[in-house]
Amino acid sequence: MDPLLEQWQKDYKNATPKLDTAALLSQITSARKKQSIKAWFDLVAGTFVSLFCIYALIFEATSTPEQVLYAILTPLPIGFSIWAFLKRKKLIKSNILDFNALLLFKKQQLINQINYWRLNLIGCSILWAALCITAAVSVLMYNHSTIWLIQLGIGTLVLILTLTRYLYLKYHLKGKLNYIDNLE
Amino acid sequence: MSKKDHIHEVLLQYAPLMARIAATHEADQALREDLLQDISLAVWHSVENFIGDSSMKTFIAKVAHNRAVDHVLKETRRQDRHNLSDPLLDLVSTDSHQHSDNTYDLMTAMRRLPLKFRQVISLQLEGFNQAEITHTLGINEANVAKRASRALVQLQKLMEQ
Repeated sequence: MDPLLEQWQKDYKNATPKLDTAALLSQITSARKKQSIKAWFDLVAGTFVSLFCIYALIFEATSTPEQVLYAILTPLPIGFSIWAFLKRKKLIKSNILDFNALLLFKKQQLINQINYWRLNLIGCSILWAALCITAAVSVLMYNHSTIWLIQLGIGTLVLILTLTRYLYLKYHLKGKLNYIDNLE
Repeated sequence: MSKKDHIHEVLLQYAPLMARIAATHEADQALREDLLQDISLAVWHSVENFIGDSSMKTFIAKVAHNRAVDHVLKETRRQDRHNLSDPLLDLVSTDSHQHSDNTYDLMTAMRRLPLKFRQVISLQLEGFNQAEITHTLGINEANVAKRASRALVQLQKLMEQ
């Protein structure tokens, strides 16, 4: 073997940072426990809220629109919990991907993030428009201004924050994708 | 031996390997410790997916490198915090002062290498053969050889600076 490489191998081994393995083990055991508790909590909470929606649909809803509302709401919490669970699994699997596959995965994550915030923005915009119409009707016809103005203010703030986040991510997306491309 | 005990044993056995991989990707001590924790957790989660198609050491190096790449991407995005001239004050050196200087130079120089070269050279210095590096990085042997020779040249240039 090349003597220089041999010397570097020796130097590299000697450059091992100081390790407190007992502390490391204790930290990751605790971190893993927390992750596990969080995963179970997400799943139980999602199931509980969905079950509550079913209860409300059967015993609490007094009109058809209410029943429709609860029927639409029922699958959402449990669906979100399952999505989060599958996402965790996918993330764990990414640990054993090949280098290029990992970079592809990272690029897809960035694109998914943009799509997620775009959808969020569209949803917020629709809700904000609906809120504006409802507020206008309420203020003009029934003179209930304060509560609607507060709601409109909160809605506008949420919309601005969502828009800012989306524009920020969109602005930086190309640079991030180029950076990953350069690693390949 | 229980599953948990087995994982603990694996983590203890390969902690120095994981720490070295973390050190070749992060100069800041606090961030390096975070990265080491992240790698250890990833190894814990991933050991269940180990199907024995390579040695455990190769498998762990693969997981550790993937987490390190993820870390580099995140940190690069956050800010250009990888101050490559940061001293590694806690390096363990068993030899002379001159040796310690060489060690410092090697780790600093390695972090200056492009990621694709850094990965190959760190695996080579860890003692992995070409086939194992191929398996770890998912690139063909010709590519490994090309990267390794270019990495060695670049590293030598950096060390001479």
